[in-house]
Amino acid sequence: MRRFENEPSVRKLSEYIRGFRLYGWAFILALVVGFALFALTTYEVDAVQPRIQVGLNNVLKVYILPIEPQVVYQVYKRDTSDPLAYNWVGTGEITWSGGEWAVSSLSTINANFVWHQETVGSNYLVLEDKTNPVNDKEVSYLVTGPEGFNNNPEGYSVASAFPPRQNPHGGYTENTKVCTVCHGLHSSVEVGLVKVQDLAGVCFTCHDGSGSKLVISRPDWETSSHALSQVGQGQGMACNSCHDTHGKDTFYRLTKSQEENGCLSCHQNVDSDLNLASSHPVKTVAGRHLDTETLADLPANDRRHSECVDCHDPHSATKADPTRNVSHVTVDRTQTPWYTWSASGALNFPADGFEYRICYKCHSGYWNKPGASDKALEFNPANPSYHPVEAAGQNNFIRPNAFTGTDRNGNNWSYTSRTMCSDCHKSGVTGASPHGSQNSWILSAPYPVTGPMTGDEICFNCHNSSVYLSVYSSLEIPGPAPMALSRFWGDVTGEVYQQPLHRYHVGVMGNSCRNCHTTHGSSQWPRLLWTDPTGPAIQAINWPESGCQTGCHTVQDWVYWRPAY
Amino acid sequence: MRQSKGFKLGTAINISLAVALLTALGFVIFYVQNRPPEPVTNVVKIFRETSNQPPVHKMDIYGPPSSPLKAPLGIEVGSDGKIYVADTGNNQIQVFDSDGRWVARFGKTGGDKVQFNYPIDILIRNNRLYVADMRNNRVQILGMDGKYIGQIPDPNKHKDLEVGPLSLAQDKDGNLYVAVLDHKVLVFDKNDNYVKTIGRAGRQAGQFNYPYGLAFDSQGRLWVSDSNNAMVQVLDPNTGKAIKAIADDMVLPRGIVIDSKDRVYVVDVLRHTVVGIDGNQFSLLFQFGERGLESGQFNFPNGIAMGPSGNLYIIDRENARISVWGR
Repeated sequence: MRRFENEPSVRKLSEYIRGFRLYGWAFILALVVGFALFALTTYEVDAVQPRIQVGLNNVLKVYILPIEPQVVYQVYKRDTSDPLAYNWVGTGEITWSGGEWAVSSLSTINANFVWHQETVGSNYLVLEDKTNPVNDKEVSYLVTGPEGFNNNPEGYSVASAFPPRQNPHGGYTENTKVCTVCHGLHSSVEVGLVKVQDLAGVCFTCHDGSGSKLVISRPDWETSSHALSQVGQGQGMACNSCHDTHGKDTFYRLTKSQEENGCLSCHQNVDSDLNLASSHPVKTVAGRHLDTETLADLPANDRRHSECVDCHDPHSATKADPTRNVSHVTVDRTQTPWYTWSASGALNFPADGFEYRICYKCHSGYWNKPGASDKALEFNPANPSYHPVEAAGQNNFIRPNAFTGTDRNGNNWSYTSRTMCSDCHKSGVTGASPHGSQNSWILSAPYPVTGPMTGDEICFNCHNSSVYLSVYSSLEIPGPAPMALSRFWGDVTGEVYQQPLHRYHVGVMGNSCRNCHTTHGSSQWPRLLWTDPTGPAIQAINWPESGCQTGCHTVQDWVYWRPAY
Repeated sequence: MRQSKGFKLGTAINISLAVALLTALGFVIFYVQNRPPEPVTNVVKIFRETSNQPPVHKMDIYGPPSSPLKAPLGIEVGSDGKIYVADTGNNQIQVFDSDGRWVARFGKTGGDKVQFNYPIDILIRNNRLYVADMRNNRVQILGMDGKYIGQIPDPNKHKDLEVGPLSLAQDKDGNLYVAVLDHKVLVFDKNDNYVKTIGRAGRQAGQFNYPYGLAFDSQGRLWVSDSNNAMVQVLDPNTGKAIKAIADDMVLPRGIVIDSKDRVYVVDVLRHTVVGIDGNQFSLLFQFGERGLESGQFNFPNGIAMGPSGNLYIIDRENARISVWGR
């Protein structure tokens, strides 16, 4: 449209717009809106890597976002037990159909891997991994999808995570409401909104079992040494002494330190015990312990470990009962099987006399050290002889004075006593507990295979060396011996009277106890005697009570008295 | 037509008219917002409004010095006004009369008859006490005098039924509802036979995450304190379908009780308040309580029960007392 003769022929923009009319603009608008709707409702375009997240109950989830209407995903898993290999764990497919996403044709390596959609109809495909133990091991998942998946021309993507650093308490960075779960916002009687002593009131709201599967016994905690300790300005320890409830840079179960490091930072005498020549391998293994573990969770050869919490419950332990409330093996030899693994948290677990139930978790057929013997078989009270760990002793041939020393309750040892594993297996330095020792087998004194014995060996902690070792003792005199304290008596060539034969074999001939006796229990003979066809020890015994054939001599008759008293 | 620069009369008139119109509009809005309130002419209307005021604190009930309460969690009040407290930390039940005087206690730690391991809730049903004996994985049934009657699961009736009870309620037909640690609600009939399960674990409507609180309103709808999902859900108990989910201002809702006017009282443990909700409009009516150790304050309130006179009896856990509120 021209107004003046001299106006240039180029039209103004406003004229173009006006000229377009209503229909043109409506058409363009419709195109734009339609395209936007199509793009937004069909599928999202998201270049974010597949994410790993710890969900409820500590299952690991791998989130996969589809980018095309029908995609098949393969998921592979690698953990640090075999860092070179990604192992296939599942194949999943998600399809856009009927206006929503649907999951279809799935397969997984086993029932521990489960495919599902985040929510019905959502476009997040989730692979739940229920096998992954939540510990300090990193896990990686490799997800393959179509070409161009996550901008990778080869079509795969990798995501890794340290699961325990996800905090089950919630995402604090975005969600103030989560903060109010524990902190009072505007009204609080304490500085800092949650005072240390009051922290138990907050935590036990859920961790009594009514809001969490991770359950602590509150009466146990309140009577535990940790709660009653005088550390921290005399206030005692609280949950946040060891746990960081906010979960920044934390380890398993929101602890501030990894495994034994937390304990040893205060318990330094234990730390030095663990450095001795023979010790429980607490410091040498990491990332294997689960607080919920039972035998089924511990395949042999792969998860052998020893951590502080295998024997001590830090929420429960007291000075008098340092293993209170810890998981253990219940032994009932009338049942089959006669071991039963009892989870931690058992009500009223008595420690005294039942210490072996904790040791049996590892030192028995349950999960024995390769090459070691099954202690539960050896201590079986049905055996002809046994050290009285599971049951009181029955060898009434041992007279009271043949023993020396007292048990931990101050009672003199006698043939009816009960012993505990830690009566022998304890530190020679601190003398307290079986953490470590400078002697083999974490014993408090040496236990040599061959003699001569010196009297410092472990046997003589309880068995009087005057009776069994000394060349001569006023307690026993040669000759007819109604006063004999050891009934191992007999003729010795060249002697007028019969001799105490322990003293003869051990003190004179320089044998070690182990030449004839086994350690924990004998399934063959009374008196912890055992035949060892491979060694210099007893070759055969003619029972009852007469005749010993050893590697040193042929059958010898020996006689002993059974006095009336 | 001449294109003239400068002031045009037509434009000036247009602009003036527009300004005048906008100003008039502004006045209208201002007036509507700030007009004086209508005079109150209806007395009945006032009464109805003030009855939705929150209750006030009346008194505290402590255990006697010889047997103080220890971290109690559950409470129930009988039609005679007697108060039954699940004294959880002591693994026993303590009984008070309607004036708050101590009457009796029974039970001790253990797994046998009239022994408890973490009793967490109490319900009076058919003139019996039903105690959610959580760590013994059972609901123990006792006479009102504390004598043992039975338990759920009953080995004769309920084979393979796992019951880790969190909360108990009954509907007007006498059916028993037990919210359990598996994040479900189990339903039992008048004879304690198992009928069905409502809900399952999850975060969606109709799914639960530690459903620690159950109550029925006058329409027979089931209200569930879906504690760890920070919301209260209203369900149809026949179908299990969720009717409504209330999540505003909820942090850890637990104890829940509903009065005859369908006012729903929900204890929010970690906010140390009790929230009053209109059971029909689902709107917030009021909330009362704050954290503290003084009388009338709460330190982790948990269970709640209503007495025959309409008083509320609220467990004040860490203060080891029952806080009584009323109108």
